[in-house]
Amino acid sequence: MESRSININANSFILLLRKGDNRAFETLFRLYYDKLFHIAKGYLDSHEDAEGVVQNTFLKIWEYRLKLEVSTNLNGYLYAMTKNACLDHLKHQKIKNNYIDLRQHKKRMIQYQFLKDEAASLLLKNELERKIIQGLDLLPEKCKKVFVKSRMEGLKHHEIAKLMGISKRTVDNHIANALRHMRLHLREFLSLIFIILLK
Amino acid sequence: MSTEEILKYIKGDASTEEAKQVEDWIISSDLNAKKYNLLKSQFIAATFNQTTDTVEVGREYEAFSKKAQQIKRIQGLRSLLKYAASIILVFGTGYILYTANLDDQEPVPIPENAITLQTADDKIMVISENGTAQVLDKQGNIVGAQSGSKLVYDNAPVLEELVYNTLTVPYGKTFDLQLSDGTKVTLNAGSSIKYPVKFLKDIHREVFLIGEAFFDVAHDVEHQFVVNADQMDITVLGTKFNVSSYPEDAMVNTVLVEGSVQISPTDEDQDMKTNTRLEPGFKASLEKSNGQVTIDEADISLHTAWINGKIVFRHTPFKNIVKKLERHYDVEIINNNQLLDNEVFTASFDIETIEEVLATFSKTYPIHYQYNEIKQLVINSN
Repeated sequence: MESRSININANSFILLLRKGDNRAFETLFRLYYDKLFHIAKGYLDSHEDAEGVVQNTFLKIWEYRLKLEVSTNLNGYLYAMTKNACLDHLKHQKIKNNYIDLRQHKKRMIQYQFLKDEAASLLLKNELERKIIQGLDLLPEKCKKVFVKSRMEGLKHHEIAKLMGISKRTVDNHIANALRHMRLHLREFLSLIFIILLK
Repeated sequence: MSTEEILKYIKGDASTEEAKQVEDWIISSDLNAKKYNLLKSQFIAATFNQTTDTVEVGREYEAFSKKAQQIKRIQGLRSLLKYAASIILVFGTGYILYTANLDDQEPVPIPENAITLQTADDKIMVISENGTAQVLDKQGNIVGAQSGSKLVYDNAPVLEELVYNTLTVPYGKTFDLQLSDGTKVTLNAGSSIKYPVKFLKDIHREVFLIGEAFFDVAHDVEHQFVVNADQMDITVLGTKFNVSSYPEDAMVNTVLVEGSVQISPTDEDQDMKTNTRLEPGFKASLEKSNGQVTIDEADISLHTAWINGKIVFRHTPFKNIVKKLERHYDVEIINNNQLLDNEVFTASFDIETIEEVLATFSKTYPIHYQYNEIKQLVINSN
């Protein structure tokens, strides 16, 4: 069932991130920024704070990119980094404002215990992954299969043709179609394709 | 506090006064906090698209990109190795301390009326109803977490083999479960379900049920979801249905709420299998003694009321009512009034105690009940 989804955790992608490849980071950013921002906004109840926190999260991932291993689950990693950054943000706020009213204090307690709730976290992390996969899965089935084999698994066009029992020309067409489809429907994934094409 | 009021608060639509009330309610108990947490996470999970539409990712990326280049320049000047080494050291120590701690624990006797979780290594954990717990795999990774009356499994861990957990709910309690594929299961009193911690990508999804559960199966066309319930297999792709298969009951019932399911007796040869398709609003009953399957139109609310803590009977013989009451209230009931057994009743109960329920029956039927010395409820004719 290798055709089900494009694997964001593909080794080639993570190796590029480790190398500090700009286009790989742009892809990661464009895939995840709005979704992590949405989660942080939920955790912090503030548009501005969430913006800052997620920006810093990406900077941290960039700074410590060598911590990424080929076995790293990117989705889990990004989610955990964001959640921890939100926790840090709340703690920091607490130090900054020693004199806050009772209501503020209660609100913070509620935010804090929500962040610490493992079941709520899992639910969000799972949904985040589902959203990402859903986006990538918009590609037509055959197209996707060829595309994944070629660009994520590194198979040559003639190898795919043999494997799937189709002509090399059909493989070429499928890949061209995949690219066109993504360009039409998934503007933000363009950079992903560039990276993969360069490989 | 009603779900609507909490949601209004979460959406930010509550007035200052209403918001205060909700906040006080949340911090007044752990249970309330958990209810709020689940609602809030579900709300966030359901509203991703709203944010996506408003964010200008391009502009945000520009801002990130500028700072990232600065970091890159600074990083050129110092070695990252030192950082990595110290981080690994801290994590390493923490892990050893943590596992050592776990091994020291004495085995605790399991109380009879506890919700329990049997993990892959055959250890049995007690799930406290309003508590929190984590399910770890052999490597110590978190694969599932409990919050209040719900247990959620992670969809991320990559496993090569099927690893099963079994959740058992005693009489008098119910529990929610979210499987790794997102399927939601509500387990009724006196029931047990065995399921893989993570479904594998190459084979269909399969769980094993004893008792009653409501399933809201996550849609996945490529992986059928099969519920093994005693002598009945229920196969679906993604849908909502209720299965009741208590060992002491004569029937296995499946009631379909949404979508479509396929019912087949378990033991038959694959080629010989008699499959029955069920439409929404219908019930398939399998008579365990002779394997006969019958399909009837069914009142869905009657079969799913238990999810909200209600018990509903419609033209139900008293002997069946007794079994439901026993499970719901975790009491043993002895009915000495044989005539009553086949009398049919229509009633619904919500927050009543078992005494109040029986008092209601005694109003329309001449019965008398009392506890005997071993806490069984004995019903005699008046």
